[in-house]
Amino acid sequence: MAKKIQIKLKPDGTIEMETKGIKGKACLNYIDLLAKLTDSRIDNYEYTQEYYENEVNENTVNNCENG
Amino acid sequence: MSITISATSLAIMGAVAALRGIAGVAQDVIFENFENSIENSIESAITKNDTKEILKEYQTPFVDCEILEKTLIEHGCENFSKNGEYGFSCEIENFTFIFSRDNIENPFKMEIKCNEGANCDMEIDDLSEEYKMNVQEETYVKLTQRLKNNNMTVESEQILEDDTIMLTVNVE
Repeated sequence: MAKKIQIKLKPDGTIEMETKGIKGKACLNYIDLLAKLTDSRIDNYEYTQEYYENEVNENTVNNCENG
Repeated sequence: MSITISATSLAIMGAVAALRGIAGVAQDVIFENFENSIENSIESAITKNDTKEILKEYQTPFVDCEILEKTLIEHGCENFSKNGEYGFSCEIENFTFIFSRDNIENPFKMEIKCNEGANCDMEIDDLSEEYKMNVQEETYVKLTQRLKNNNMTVESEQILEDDTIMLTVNVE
């Protein structure tokens, strides 16, 4: 899946962004990027269900490899 | 695999700082406070040439002076004059707007001078909507330029029904 970010500029001056296809903790890098690109302060961020599913899969793989 | 992020332009400021990090609350608080500010605005009256003049005071979320001036000009304001280091005033029809603040990081305090019976609250509501739309426009210009500078390609651009601008960007 191609890596994308979807940015929404709302008419009330707020901004929303969603990362797509960016695996695991790498998507956290985009929090600072959004603030820098738009001169904004981050009010909140939330992991989607996909993030947790991916984290579980990665941990399972790591545990298997270490075991 | 992904996260959603909510942010607010630095051009808008309210009592949001103390509430940062609480999901979905921050922006509402800014304008809830602003609306409260409208309800709780300080009103005083003076009589000049047999006409009662009202002076109403508001705490606004307006931080960016350039966007504010642009908004006021588009709103039809004229006769701009500087008041002190950070303040200025301007006029439109029967209203005089006086803006002041202690430093450039703080939002402006606004006083409206008008004749008795004029609807100051409607005037500040209109101004607030127009300011926010200019913040959106300014953010769009800044964002698209910075994406270009960072070699990030905009795959698609869409205006949604509520006038939200949606950009889909390819990243490496």
